[in-house]
Amino acid sequence: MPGAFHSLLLPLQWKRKPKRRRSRSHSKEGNNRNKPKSHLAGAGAAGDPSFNLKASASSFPRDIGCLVQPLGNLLLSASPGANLRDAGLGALRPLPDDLLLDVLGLLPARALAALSAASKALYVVAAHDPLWRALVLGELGGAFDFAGSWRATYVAAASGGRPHLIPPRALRIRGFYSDYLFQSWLCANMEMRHEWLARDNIERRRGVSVEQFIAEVEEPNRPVLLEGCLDSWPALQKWSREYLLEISAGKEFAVGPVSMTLDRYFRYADNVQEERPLYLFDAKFAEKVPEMGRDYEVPVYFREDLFSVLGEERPDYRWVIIGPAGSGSSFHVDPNSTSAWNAIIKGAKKWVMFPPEVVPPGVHPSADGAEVTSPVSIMEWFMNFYGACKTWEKRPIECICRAGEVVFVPNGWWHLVINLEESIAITQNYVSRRNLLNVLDFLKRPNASELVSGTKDRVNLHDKFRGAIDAAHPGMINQLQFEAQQKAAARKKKASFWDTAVDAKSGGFKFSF
Amino acid sequence: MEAAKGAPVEENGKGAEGAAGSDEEMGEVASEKGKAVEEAKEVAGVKTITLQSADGVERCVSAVAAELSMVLSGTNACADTVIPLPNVATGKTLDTVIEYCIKHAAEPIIGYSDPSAAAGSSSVGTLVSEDLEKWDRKLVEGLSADDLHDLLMAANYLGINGLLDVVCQKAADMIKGKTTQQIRDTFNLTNDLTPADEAELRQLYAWAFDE
Repeated sequence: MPGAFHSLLLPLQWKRKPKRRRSRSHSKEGNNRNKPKSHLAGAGAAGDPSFNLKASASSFPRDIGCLVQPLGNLLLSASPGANLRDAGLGALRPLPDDLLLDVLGLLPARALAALSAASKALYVVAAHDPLWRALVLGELGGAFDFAGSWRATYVAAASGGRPHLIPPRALRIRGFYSDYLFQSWLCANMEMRHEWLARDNIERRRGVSVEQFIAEVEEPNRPVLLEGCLDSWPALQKWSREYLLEISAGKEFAVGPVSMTLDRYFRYADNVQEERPLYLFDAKFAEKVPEMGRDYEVPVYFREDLFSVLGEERPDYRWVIIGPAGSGSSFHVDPNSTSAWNAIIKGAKKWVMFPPEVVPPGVHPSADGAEVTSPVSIMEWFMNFYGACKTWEKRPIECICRAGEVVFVPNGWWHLVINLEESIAITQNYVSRRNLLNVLDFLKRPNASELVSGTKDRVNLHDKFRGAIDAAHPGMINQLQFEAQQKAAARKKKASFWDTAVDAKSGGFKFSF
Repeated sequence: MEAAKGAPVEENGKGAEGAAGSDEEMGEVASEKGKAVEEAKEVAGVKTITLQSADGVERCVSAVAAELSMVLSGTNACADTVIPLPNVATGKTLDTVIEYCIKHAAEPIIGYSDPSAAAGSSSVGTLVSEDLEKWDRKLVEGLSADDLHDLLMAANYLGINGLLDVVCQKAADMIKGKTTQQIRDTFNLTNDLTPADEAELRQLYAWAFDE
């Protein structure tokens, strides 16, 4: 399922604002009392006093985590007012952190390195790993050997490629306080809290007939978790890392803005610790590795696949998704108004879904729906916005989906997904008679050329699709439109009946529209 | 209607020229800008809004140009209401911001059929011509570090992504190609790293310092 990716991705799907436009909400957990040596403690957003940091978070003095503390600590420190940041940035001091990082993000590696040596404060800021990630991906594409951090990766590559996992020795620097940088480190090193995973209120179904599914789930456009419909999939038994490495040897898969082989990707996934890990999300996996395409089949409920009338010209419709714990997709609506199913072969995913008319907390789509501003990372969303779900317009549908299960994502629904462990899944988007009219409407929109995803020829997709449907299924569109009108009329009738029934003063039949 | 709109601008124009006495260059620049605003207004033929910098300088700008600011776009204020902008430090900053907005609002955007949508869009969708890029670079060329800082804060505050890009790029350009010591000199930094630190960094970044 095409998702809302990190801004580094090529704008094939949702167009994304430049990453600077996300503003971090200040974490409430700023009141740490201990120096961040082993385990940070502080008032959590939910009142819980501890962060659950990943075990590896503080064992190496290698990343910025040991270099930055939240501003709250400054108040309680031995010398309040002595923020290294203030002393060490000179003329750059008035710049807020996000702008400062924007400027640094424009620098080539040499300049960033030269800057790092200018002062302690600049060393800290320039060590912000996402800066180095951009440099690695920009210069090496997918041909990098991940060395534990992006900075270490770049340094190793630039120093003649010694790809071992020993991190560059970090300078021991104390006294740098910054909420923005600290939050970034925190999100990269936190694990999901128990209370974020506790709710599981999705409807679970097993063994329903296709007719039942259509009538009770697809028509009403409700999410559901289906059990037991992957039993026939060879993938469930066969897809181990070894098997996948073997059959895909040498083939490169789409990972964010780059392509890379599976062995490189696994080496990255095993050692990464960042806010938004790169996610392997490939729309051509079955073409690249036909065995993968043969190891699964579309569950019976989703076999109606109307975009297939377009043949080779159909938009991207199926993806293999592989990612480590912490990877996922932040809130988005699937493009083209399609519906989707997501089947887990290995691992576990946490889902949070809102109906089409309810924008999730912390999410701000632009007026035309072309852009979605969401929090920096999934972890940050949970930290700062999950709590608001309790009192939101409508409470979300949530679940944890595990191997062998399938989640149905109805068209138009907002959804957020995070992998709780390394996960391998297959997802497809589709158009059936239930959402054909929606899809046609979507493609007719004036800005469709920006919004329509997954095809090369965006502008003519509506006409092509419409023409192809009329050719392959003559009368289908008219039939559906007729049925839709009938339903709308029936609803109106119902409404006006209530208007008259409730209006006691009228004393008679009254039209009210 | 036109005459009424004309009046406030003329007053501001006079005000700007009046200031020329104290700083001739600034005054010339300011009155040129005042003229540019008037011309733009006439061309646009639509409503204007009045902005006020933190130090009290007022400027009129067409609503079309103001659309480039995510904060100001869609405002219903008329020319009589003065919108105070506390994060736009000086009249000079305001003038530069307005100059940018007028220039970019007037540029034909490639690939969009709806020009008003294009004017308000972020830099993601905007294809900027080479000439325009040159113009942008010139806009920030002579500015001092303080001016740049003011401009950066103003662009950030007003949500003018394109201008923000330009100023960030300028700041980055001030860093590129310099040695560490030169960077310290440019930005007034004290070297607080210990010799041991510096030695480690030299090793870590040997590939960068090889020159």
